[in-house]
Amino acid sequence: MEFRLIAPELILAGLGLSLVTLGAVVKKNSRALAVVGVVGSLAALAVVLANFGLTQDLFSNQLRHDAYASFFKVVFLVILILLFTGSAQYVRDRRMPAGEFYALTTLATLGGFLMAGSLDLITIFLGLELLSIASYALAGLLKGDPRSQEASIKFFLVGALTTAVILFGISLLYGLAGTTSLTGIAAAVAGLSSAEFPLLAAAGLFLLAGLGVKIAAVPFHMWAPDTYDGAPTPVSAFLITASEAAAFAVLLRLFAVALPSLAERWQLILGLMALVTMTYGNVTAILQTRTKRMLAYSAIAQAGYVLVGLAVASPSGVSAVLYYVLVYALMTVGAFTVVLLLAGESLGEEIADFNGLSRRSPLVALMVTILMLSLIGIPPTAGFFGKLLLYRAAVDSGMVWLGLATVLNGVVSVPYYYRIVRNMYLEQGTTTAALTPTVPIAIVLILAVGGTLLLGIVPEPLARVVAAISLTP
Amino acid sequence: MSVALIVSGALAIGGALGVILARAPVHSVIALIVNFLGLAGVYLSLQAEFLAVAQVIVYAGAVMILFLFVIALLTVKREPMERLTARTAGRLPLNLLAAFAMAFLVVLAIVRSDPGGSVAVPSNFGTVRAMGETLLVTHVFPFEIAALVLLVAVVGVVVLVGRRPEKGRE
Amino acid sequence: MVADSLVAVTIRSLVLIIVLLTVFAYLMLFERKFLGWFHLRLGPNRTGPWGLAQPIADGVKMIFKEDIIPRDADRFIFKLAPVISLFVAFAAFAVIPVGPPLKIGNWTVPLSIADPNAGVLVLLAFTSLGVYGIALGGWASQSKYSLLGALRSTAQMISYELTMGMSLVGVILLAGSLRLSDIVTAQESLWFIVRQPVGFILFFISVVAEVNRVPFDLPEAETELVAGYHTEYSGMRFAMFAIAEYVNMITVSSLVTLLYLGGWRGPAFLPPVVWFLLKVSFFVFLFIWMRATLPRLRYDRLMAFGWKVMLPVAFLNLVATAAWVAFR
Repeated sequence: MEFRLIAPELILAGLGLSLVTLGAVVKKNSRALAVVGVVGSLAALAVVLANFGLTQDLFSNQLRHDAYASFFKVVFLVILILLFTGSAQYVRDRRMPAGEFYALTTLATLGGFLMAGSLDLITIFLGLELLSIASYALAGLLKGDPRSQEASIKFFLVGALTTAVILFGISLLYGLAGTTSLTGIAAAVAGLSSAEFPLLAAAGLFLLAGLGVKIAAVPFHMWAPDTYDGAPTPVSAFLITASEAAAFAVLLRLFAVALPSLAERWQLILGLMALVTMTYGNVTAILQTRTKRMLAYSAIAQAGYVLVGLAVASPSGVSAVLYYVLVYALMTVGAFTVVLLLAGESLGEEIADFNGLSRRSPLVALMVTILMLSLIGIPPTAGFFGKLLLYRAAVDSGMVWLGLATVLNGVVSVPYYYRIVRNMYLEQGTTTAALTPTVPIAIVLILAVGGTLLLGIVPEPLARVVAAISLTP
Repeated sequence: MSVALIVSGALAIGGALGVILARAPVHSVIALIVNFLGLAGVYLSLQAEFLAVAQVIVYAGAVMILFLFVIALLTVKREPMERLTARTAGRLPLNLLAAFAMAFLVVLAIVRSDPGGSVAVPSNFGTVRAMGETLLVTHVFPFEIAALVLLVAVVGVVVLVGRRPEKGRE
Repeated sequence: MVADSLVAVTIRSLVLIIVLLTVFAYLMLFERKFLGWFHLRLGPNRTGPWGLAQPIADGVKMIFKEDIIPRDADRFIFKLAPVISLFVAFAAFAVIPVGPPLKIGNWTVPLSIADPNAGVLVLLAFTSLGVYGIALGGWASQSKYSLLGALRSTAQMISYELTMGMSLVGVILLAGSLRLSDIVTAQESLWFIVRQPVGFILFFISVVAEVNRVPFDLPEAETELVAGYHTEYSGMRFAMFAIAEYVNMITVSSLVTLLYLGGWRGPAFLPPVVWFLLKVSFFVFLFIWMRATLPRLRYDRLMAFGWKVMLPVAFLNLVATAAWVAFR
């Protein structure tokens, strides 16, 4: 039984190890490695889906297999499969070390798995480190590109400090509770006297700050634009989607299971954090001229939206976060795949590169339009429904101001998403040659855009699934 | 509290202060080693014998020597340290405020909290056997994950700084 | 463990230090004598009969030599480094039992300063600290030869320490204890050199590298680095490094004896302590013999040998031993 439940983890670990080894053997053939990666991830996805409904604690309660963890695992694997499919050409063109790229991404995903499923501070920390250390290396994989090196170094320095901050928070929490188990901490915290609350608050603050860095929430976002901009494009997409989702998985579980009292007292703090984060991200994104940098700031803004779900500290908030994380992953991977496509055309990564895209490939332009509409949150796209769920969660728990802020921020974000659409349809490009995506990229685009549309038009099935997922049995 | 605990605790704190106050990086390294030795002393005074020895072997003996290795190479010529630039110095008040706020919370909690009774430790506490049980039976899963973390770190280092043979000599 | 009084420990420590210093002085003499014979020379023979007063003359000379500190040196660390080396060398010997506890009337005198539970690990901990003396001394001198010697020594010692630890675990697995006296007891019927031949060879090679002796004496390779890490040292500070080196040599010889050659065990016609000393002397002689016989390794070969031959073999040995212990 236990082995069936951790089979996806085992598959990913085996996949990562074999990709490292394979990478040393087939140096040039990045496509073969991508195929291995996609097949392995699909196998893991199949097992995760087969086990979806099962709930069980594993390894002396250090790991919990439940629908919540399974949902995040599905999100991670969807991201992984789409990225592996779309990035083979980019990896070859940029002479990235292919074996290491696929292997590190796989193992980073395994880190995400552990973060989503952990019921113990030790496993949470190890999962976080697995994900982070792999990410530091991934960000620097463009060895000839100084901006990739800068991305890696900045990420690493901030990340190392973050590790210390998180560990300090963990040690305080352990000192308070005498255990690293989240359920044990919950029991110990419930019996705390008010005299010990400052220590609990300090522990919570350290953990919030540390994980805040990982989700690039303001004021812990300084590293994010440079890293997301300089890192190799598939890596940026991975960091913005999977890495942030994993940190949210931990934050939600930590506050809902271990520190529910803190979550209720901190509604205002978390709400303000969400407000500042989304506003800062949206306002700054307007000023950007590079696509990846714009998407980086947009990622900060989106992290702010997701924080709303954390701030409301209610089951409906959790459901909204789950829904939004999946939708956001689809939109972002889609958007970055378009950047990959343009980069394959040996175009730069400027927003101006979208000029005249509608005449070069009307279909791609249409797809980009759908993605941008969804990122803004306009029906009938999935982004709209995700924001609606967040809004409703906020209003239901009496934080109307936060719900309104979310809506207003959607309006603020219109200019910079709209600029891409306008460039595609109204501007004159430098070239009018037809743009035909390669088959893998076309597949990724169809899946991402199709998913975004489908979840926007028929949102109920997924909404029912996430509504049934709860953290507190 | 035993004398040993107080002495080694003082040693550890002194070492930690030395790390941030020393002007030459090598002096910081030495202070950090002192700090580790102090920590080992703290473990020893708490009957965690194996942890103490492992602390000395792994951190003081192996990790810090690599630090020293790198710092000795980078500071072959002893030069004065760089001063804080105006940009970072400007943030100092805010940083201090945040630091003091956190310190205040922790100190407040320590002052207000109940010192509590002592908890009996199991008789085999801190022995090699007990450590082995904890590490390889109770926590075998995190232990294996730690192995993966190390592997990822090795792969990352090799891919970032290793020379690639196919690129040829530049 | 019987709780020792502070006085007893202090007395034993003083005795140990005096004995070790004397042994060091005469070991130096014997090394020069032996080397002389290996080279078909006479060796020291001017001071006293058979050169026996040579160590005294050397000692007096060292004390009265001018103490030179290079102008650019980091004075504090320059002075600290030899002290670290010496202290660690003596401290490591503290956990080595030279024989079973001695019974004099009602008194039981243990023949070591301490016999902690994790004895082997304590010893490893101290030897792993020994490298700081060399590394810091080399860096503080602010001389390129010293620095190169120190860096080489650091790299070499961390590399071979791994093999040393790995081969050691084989013995620990068989003995089921980390306490040195237990390990000796476990060899009652059969010495571990018979059951761990590969481990023994690996361990011996690693300790030679660990104490920087020929053929692993690259940190002070005189043909390329003048005198390596102690190029700039003179007088007593130089002597402290020398004492540390020889004490380390005695320590590791004792360790090999305890771990693989049954410690103080031997036929009853000689007392245990004598057996122990004989075995240790054999290894010390082996060190000198190698110095007279073997050429120095090239640096890259040394590192490649450590990481690509020694370490994998040590891992295999460990896995095989573990499997044997688990499934026997």
